[in-house]
Amino acid sequence: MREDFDREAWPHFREIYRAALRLSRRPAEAEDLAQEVFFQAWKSFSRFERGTNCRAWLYRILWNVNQQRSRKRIPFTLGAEGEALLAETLAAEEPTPTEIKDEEVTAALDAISAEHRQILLLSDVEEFTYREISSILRVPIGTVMSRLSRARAALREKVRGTAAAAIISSGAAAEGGAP
Amino acid sequence: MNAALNVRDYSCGKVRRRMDSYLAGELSVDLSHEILEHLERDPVCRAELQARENLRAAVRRIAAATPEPRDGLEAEVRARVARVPPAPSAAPTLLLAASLVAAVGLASYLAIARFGGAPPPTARKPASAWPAFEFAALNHRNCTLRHSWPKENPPAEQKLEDGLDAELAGALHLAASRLPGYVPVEAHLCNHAGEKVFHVIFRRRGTETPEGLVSILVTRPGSTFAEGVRLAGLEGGRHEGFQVVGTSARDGRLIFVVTTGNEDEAMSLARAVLPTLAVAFLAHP
Repeated sequence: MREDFDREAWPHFREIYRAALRLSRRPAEAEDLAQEVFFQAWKSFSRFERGTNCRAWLYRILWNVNQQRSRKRIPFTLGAEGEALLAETLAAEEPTPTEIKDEEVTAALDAISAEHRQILLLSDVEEFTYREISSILRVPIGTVMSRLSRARAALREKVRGTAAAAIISSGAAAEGGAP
Repeated sequence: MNAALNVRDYSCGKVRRRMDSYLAGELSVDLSHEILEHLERDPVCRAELQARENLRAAVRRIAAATPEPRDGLEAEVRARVARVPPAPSAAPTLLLAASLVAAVGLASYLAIARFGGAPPPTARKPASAWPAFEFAALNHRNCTLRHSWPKENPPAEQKLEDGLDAELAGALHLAASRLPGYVPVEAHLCNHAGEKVFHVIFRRRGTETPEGLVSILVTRPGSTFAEGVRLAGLEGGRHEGFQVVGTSARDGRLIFVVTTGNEDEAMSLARAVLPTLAVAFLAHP
């Protein structure tokens, strides 16, 4: 079994550490999380179905451990009314700025909620499919879609805010600098 | 909405709602085709698609800059995991077999019988129990320092008991009753190194810093890392600046006191509380 674990799980260690660092933002915490993931993975490896996606399985453990540690369980049930409101909001929102600086996106990522940041990372960075995310987060696929929509809308809104603030501040600087 | 554009089936709003799924490659061929058709006709939506694509690319660039783990981390974790045997198929579930009152009574009796007139228990840490002591010290560090628990100080008693079953709530009160100089400030079930642990944190009265925090940790019966470990009396050791003293409960759980204090303080706390708790977990008489 050790050989199987060496072959299936350990190649993902660096990736799991980096994902843990993106979640926790603190190297010491990320080391702890990554270690915990591999402890738990090893202890439950007999239940891992050989030939299935070990990477997604490890992420599922990572999300589980992270959630237990943060001791937060935030329900994401929108309901029909919420979905309708979301649809309206998304349709009516302002255009996304086309020229965006990385530091503005970093600030926007910092400003959105941890739950939104996490699901964006799973989809846009780790490139898991909606189905895989549904399995990692243990939520229905419809919830993945609505949560992602809200996360992306929140990020765009923050980016718009940051970009607008940058324009105002550069304008003010230019005015202040004029003779 | 771009009403001037003769868009047939898809309004701009509908397209924008599906735009991210389109970028993620999650739409069916038919839906993707319809969106493409719309985009061909609508420059505003096309610009929005480009802006969202730019945003996704920026998020990826930022994430790609996440540092790699430090050299040696993987080897360290591999070595720690290698010491852990694979889990057995199922851990036995144990229940408190006596009422709290009976447990306290019996505990006091046995504690006196076991430790009363005997020479002081050894403070040496047996080599086979090393992972268990390391586990206790690191779990204390993790909860008290990294997570800065307790978050609320002092918390309402009701809050301390939240999420604990009757057995663990009983153990919490039992421990508190044996440590009059300490206030319980946190009680939870935590996961550490793949093990579920009941963790109570006490604060030495009159102290505010993490140095005044003391942990009592109770493992689950049948925990794999403690397999084969049987601590006779109170046994202690030091790990990464923490003093750990532990004992085995009658049902096989390991119970630890962890403190930043010296060995004398840890041993005196352990004498006060561990034998009592050890007897309280009576599932296997």
